[in-house]
Order: sequence, then structure tokens, then C-alpha cells
Amino acid sequence: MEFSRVFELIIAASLINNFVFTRFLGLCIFFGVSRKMETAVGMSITFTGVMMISAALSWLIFTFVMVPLDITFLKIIVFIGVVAGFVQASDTIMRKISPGLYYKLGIYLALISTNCIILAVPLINAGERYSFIESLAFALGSGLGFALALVIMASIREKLELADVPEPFKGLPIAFIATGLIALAFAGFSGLITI
Amino acid sequence: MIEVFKTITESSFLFPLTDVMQFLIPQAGVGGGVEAKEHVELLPVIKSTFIFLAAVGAVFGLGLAFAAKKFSVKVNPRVEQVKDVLAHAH
Repeated sequence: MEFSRVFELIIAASLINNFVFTRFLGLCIFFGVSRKMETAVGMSITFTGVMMISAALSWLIFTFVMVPLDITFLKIIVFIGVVAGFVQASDTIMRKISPGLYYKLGIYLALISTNCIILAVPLINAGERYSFIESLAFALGSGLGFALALVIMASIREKLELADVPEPFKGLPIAFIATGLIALAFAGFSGLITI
Repeated sequence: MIEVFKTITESSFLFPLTDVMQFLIPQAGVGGGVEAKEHVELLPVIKSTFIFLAAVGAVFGLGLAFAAKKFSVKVNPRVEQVKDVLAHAH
């Protein structure tokens, strides 16, 4: 029962309601990082980790402090603060403890703190009143979906560098068109699971 | 923890003007918690909002300051001097 629900949430968040291709959130990082496969993979790993931890933190604060005190209307500002504070703290700690990892993934951390998917996931968790396990599953699914989108887009854009694109469409415009086409393909997933 | 929080918000020494404010603040109809309610006392909500935001700010501020001190990384001061000479354009 519980496991099937978790599985459903991961599939739904990563494929059916993919944040990039069906909700069109987080596009600034999506286009900024997907130029090379190496940065795309680094960003995906960092993103999924930060997403799960910040979703867990926000769920704890929301359920145990904000709901009993009847101040759930503050969720947007509190979640922004929690995510930014957590990202800043992990940036500081990672720099000291593992400089190698910081050198590889540190540049993405500052970008992540202003990402809208990172904020949307705790807000959806709070709005749908998911349990702790369900929140984590939703965050994992969203992270995997974003990673999938980044990897697909990076592989396409590396090929597009060599393709014969009309002059006005070179660079970002053709990337937007490609994203629209992938979004159409992802529309085929709709109705796979109904929650 | 919630009980302590509620006693703090309900005590009047933090907010000496409670009786005056009672007349100034209108009573709201719907809102407040997860579910819509018919009647919401606004004053406790405002109090807990202030205290909660102050607490979150204090926790994160102190935590980040402590982390920055404990996990500080020494940077060679000559790096900054060289960067100043190079006009930060590299």
C-alpha cells in the first residue's frame, strides 16, 4: 500500500508532471546549465540532494510548528528562508570538509537557492498535505525528473552545436524550440497514473 | 515545545498594549490554519507570527554565523592583492 503510493508519486513527479516539461518551472537553470553534459550531471546530483533535504526540513517545520500555531499562510516566506539558509550552511560546511566536492558542485549551490522548483516542492507538499515519506518521494521524483530533463537537453544541445541551424535561431532560440518538442513528447505520459 | 510557545504568545508582558489593540484590530472571518474557519482571533495569530519569524531568523542567523566561524577557510591574503591588481576581470 505504502510502497505503491511512493512509487506512484515518484513516477508522477518525474515523468507525468515533470517540472520542466509540463509545469515549465526552473527554466533559467535548465537553459543555463544544459549546455554541456558534465555540468548537467553535476547540477542534477546537487539538485536532487538539496531538494530532498530541503523538502524534509520544510515538512518538519510546517507540520510541527506552523500547523499547530495556525500560521500556515506564512509558508512561502518561511520556505524561502529555510531553503536559502540550508543552502548557505551546506555551502560553508562543504567548503571546509570536502574541498574537492566543493570545487565540483559548489558553483551550482548558489544557483539552486533561487530556483523555483526547490520552492515549489515544499509548497506542493504542504498544499497536498503529504506525509513525511510521501514528501520525500515527491522530492526524489522531482529531482529525478529534473535530472532527466537536464541530461536529455544537454545531449541534444551538444549535437545542436554541430547542426546547421538557421542564423536567427542559433543558440538559445533553437534550445527553446527543442524544449517545446520534448514537452510535446512528455505530454504522452499524461494519464499513465491517476492520483 | 508548542505549549511553551503558546504560553509565551498568550502572556501579556511581551505585548502590554493587548487590551488597546483588541479594539483596533478587526475580527477576521475566514483563514488562519489549514482549513478555513468561521472565526479567527487575529491577535494571537499576529503574535505567533512575529515570534515564529523572529525565532526562525535567530536560529538561522546564529547557526550560519557559528558555521562560518567554525568552518572558516583560510585564504591567502596575497590572492586578494593580486586580484585587485588584475581588476577582477579574469
